Amino acid sequence: MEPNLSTFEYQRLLNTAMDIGHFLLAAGAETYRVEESIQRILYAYGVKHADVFAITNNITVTMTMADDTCYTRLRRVYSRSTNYQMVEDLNNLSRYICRERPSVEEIRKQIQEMQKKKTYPEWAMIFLGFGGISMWFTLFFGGSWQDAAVAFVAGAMTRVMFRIMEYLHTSSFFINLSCSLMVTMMAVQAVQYGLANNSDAIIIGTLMTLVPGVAITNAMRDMIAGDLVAGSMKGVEALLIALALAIGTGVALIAMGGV
Amino acid sequence: MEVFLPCLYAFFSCAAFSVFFNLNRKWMPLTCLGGALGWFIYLVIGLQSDVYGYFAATVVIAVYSEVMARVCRVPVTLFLTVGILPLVPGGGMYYTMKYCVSGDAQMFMETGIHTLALAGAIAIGIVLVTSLVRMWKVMQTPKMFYKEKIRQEDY
Repeated sequence: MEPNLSTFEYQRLLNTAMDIGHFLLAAGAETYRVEESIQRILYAYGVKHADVFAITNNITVTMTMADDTCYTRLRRVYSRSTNYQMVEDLNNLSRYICRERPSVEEIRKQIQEMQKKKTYPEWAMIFLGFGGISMWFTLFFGGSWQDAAVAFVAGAMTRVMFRIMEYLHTSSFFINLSCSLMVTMMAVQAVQYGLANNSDAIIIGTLMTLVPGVAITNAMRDMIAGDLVAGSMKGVEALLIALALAIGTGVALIAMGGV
Repeated sequence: MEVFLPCLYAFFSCAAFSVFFNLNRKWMPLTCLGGALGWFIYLVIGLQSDVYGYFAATVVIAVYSEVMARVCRVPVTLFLTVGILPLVPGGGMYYTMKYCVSGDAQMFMETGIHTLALAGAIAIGIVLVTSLVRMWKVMQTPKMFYKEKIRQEDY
């Protein structure tokens, strides 16, 4: 029953499994999901032993064959974002692989097709995504409809600024700091000009786009699963972002005399 | 109306976040319902104690996510991260910072500790449900667990 691949085929399989792990990690999956997926895929093809170690930006795999030869791969993951469509598809793919054991060619073809899938266009991200989040959260935190309108504009501007600074390879700490600075200034200005009346709600609502809610949740889930290194890395990342937001908002409040 | 409107806002906030996360459109109503459900539970139970309300809401969202993930056969994170978002104590963090900037030491401590307590309540809620589900999963499939243990020992 065990499929008998050639040595070359096994190396190709290892690389493909690494690709799956890489894309999972880059799309914002938890660390234990990445480790488990790679391990299960390799075991499904009759590898004697597979050791996987993944943290937030690095995957290391050593696979040991029946004749005691070993292959090791290390993969760095540089850019990460949240793309749950990708996580879902890759999860289905790795289940399919473990069940059907398709050829390596077919797996690669499916991954390529997955990458071609359309994501939301940038205008939807700006207006529906960031603008929408800011608007609804401002209402949620007790703002009026005028406040929500100001927050919508501020949220859209946040996305534009975020993308520009990301394009210029600015550090995430500085991006968050300057975005929160801009948002606070806009909110306080809007209240001063009488466009809105609750600057607190606007600031909280708009900053929800930047608050690291997912990082905290995933850090918690990693910690429970026993991945202490990955969990604390994500926790520190969340803490740094929160610090940047606090500094940016605080400086702007002092400068604008909003305190 | 006092309960209904915030839940509606929570629902649409979650919908906007699912655009940001590029979530499959098929699951969007269900994930957003999780967020609205959590906030509803908080409003109903959190009348006496904020922290207890947050804890109860987190437990409900986590259980809802685990059930829905099994029903739809997708990873749990999809439902959990989006559903938890309305509970993230952004307001508490903001007011803590504001009191810090304005030099009101007593209110700063008070709000800061309260915010930490809320965050802790969320954490404990997630830990509790996830750990129980893990135990239940192992109990359901003892054979798989056994096999993996053997694999680790024969190395």
